[in-house]
Amino acid sequence: MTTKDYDIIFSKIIETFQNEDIKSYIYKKLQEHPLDIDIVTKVLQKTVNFENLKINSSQEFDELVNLKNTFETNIIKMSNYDKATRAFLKIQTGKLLVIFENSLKEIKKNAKSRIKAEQERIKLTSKLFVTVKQKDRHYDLLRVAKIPNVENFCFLGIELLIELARVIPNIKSDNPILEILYAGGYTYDSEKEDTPKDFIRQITLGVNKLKFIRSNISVPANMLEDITSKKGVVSGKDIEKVKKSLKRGTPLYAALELCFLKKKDNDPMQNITFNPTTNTIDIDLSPSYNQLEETCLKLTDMMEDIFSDNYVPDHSPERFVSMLEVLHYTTKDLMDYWAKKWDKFDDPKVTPISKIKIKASN
Amino acid sequence: MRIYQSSLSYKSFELIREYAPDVKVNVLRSFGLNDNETIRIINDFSDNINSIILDSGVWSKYNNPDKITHTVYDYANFLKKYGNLFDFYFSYDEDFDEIERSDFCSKNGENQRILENEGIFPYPVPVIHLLEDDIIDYYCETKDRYPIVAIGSNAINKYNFRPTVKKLYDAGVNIHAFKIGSSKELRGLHAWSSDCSSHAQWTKAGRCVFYDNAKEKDVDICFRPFDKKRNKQEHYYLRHPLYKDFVWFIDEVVGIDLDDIIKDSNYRTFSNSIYFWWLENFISSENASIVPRFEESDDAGTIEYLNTIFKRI
Repeated sequence: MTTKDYDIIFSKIIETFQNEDIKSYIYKKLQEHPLDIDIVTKVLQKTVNFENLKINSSQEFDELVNLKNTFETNIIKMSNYDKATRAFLKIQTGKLLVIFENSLKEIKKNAKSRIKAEQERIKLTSKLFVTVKQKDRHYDLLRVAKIPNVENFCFLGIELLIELARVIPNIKSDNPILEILYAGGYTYDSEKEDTPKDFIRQITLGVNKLKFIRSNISVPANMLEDITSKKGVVSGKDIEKVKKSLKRGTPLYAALELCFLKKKDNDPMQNITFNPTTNTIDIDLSPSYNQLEETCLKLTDMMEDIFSDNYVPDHSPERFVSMLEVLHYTTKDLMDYWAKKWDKFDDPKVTPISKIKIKASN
Repeated sequence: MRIYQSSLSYKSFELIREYAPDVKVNVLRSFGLNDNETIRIINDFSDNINSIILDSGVWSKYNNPDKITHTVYDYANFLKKYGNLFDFYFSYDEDFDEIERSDFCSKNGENQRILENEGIFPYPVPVIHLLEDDIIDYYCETKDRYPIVAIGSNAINKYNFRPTVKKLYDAGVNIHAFKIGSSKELRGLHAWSSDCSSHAQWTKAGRCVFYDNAKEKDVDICFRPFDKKRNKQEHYYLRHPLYKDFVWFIDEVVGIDLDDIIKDSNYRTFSNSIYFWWLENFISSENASIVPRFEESDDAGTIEYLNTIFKRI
């Protein structure tokens, strides 16, 4: 798909969305909200060239901090907003944070020691993030603000943009969102009207596909669709679980089913469980006789315990006698079988099987 | 060097007390809500514990978020009550991938500040997940505040892991390297301590670990003929080239029967525990020349005995 094709897709999306240019749409919406337009204008003046904006004095720094905090207060007060406008404003917050981040980098670089730099960091951070929520959110907003052309996609809403931002650093592209769209298998169809919902589904599918590809997991298209419709954007942690399970030899289908999809009735894999200690899915495909030795030893222990405890049951013995009989004959059969097939099984260095059998029958 | 053994249960300590009452192990326990096993172990087996430290339990939380729901504040409350029982305790480093991180702050850094602001002292041991110069330089400069710093398991395979540990050692910082139990990885490492949970992982699969003195590396030995993928086990004990050496180790050093090892995973855990107890002393003597600051034992007799164990093999 060429850049031109992407542009066509993009035009199509805008047309579908509001039939007008994104920016004029946002500005129109901003007028409708009870926002302090002066503050918004000041912020936009700063963010227009946010990557190169330098803060030259501590006074300028403090003024920008005040502007950012007032701006955020304004966003909180917003009512009747739509998610595109809200995302647009959050992106501006993120861009302001990038300006501060660049400034902090300079401060750290010029600090006399790491301890001094750390003190400056703490001072700035406490000024910048008045609430815990602001602090918790800033990681995401920084990432979103750094996506190329992100404002063109603000109609996706801030939450989806945040999800996108988590995979975008791994995608080398001038327009990573369109790259994701492409990965999701989007094709332009002039006869078809896409809704934002369809578009979002397509992007989510693309994000998931890229996440799996990044982990070298090739998920069949139908399964990817199932996973996307059930889980939305898959977490890196879940992908990690699948990856580790595959390394341990779990079939791809089983690993994906267990991590992402609801178990189906009569699913042969339904008894397999996730092991939280090793972060893997444990499937024991070893034969039952893999534990024959330990079972023999445990059985012997149990019988010895009966003698030491003088245990004599008081229930009807028939069923148990029959079990012991089966055990006795099966043991004999196994001994015969291995004596024929297994070299040195009846080795004279140990008591020969024939003698054991004689002893046992006495 | 200390190798802190995680995954040692109450049962493991019962076996240590029964078969090796003179042995004192280094123990790493993980924080968990409503889990009183750690306190029971401390109360009942202090004679068999050389040092005990506490991990925040965030790895289990990361893997099982639906069941394990504790927060940094729960951890702080536990430390306020029981922190003095531990030689040290780690920070609440729940963001393993350092996703929540910027130049301003990080989730893990904020958790450290929360614990410190809650009055937890001595300060929790910070856990580094990224081996970046500014972070390492910061901890080099703050050795008085953080004399021990841990490096997370996701960083131990990074190309600059070993030089970073040395840099911190040279600056006077004691490094705890998470989840390293292999003699190959520990030899020549300027770490003060490490931890490993190999007991649990190995014993569940019916395996034990011991030392191949000829090849100078740890080897595993297993007691089931097939692995979980139904392949024949390469290290099945009855085909193992070092089978007789292992039997000698079990008889003479661990002091239990081979049959016990075969039928009961608790005994396998015990055997591994004795192995790691030996390994930490062995590695300490191997690394003594590069980390003179860590020389702490003057019990020459014990060291000599420990050094002969695998030389005999």
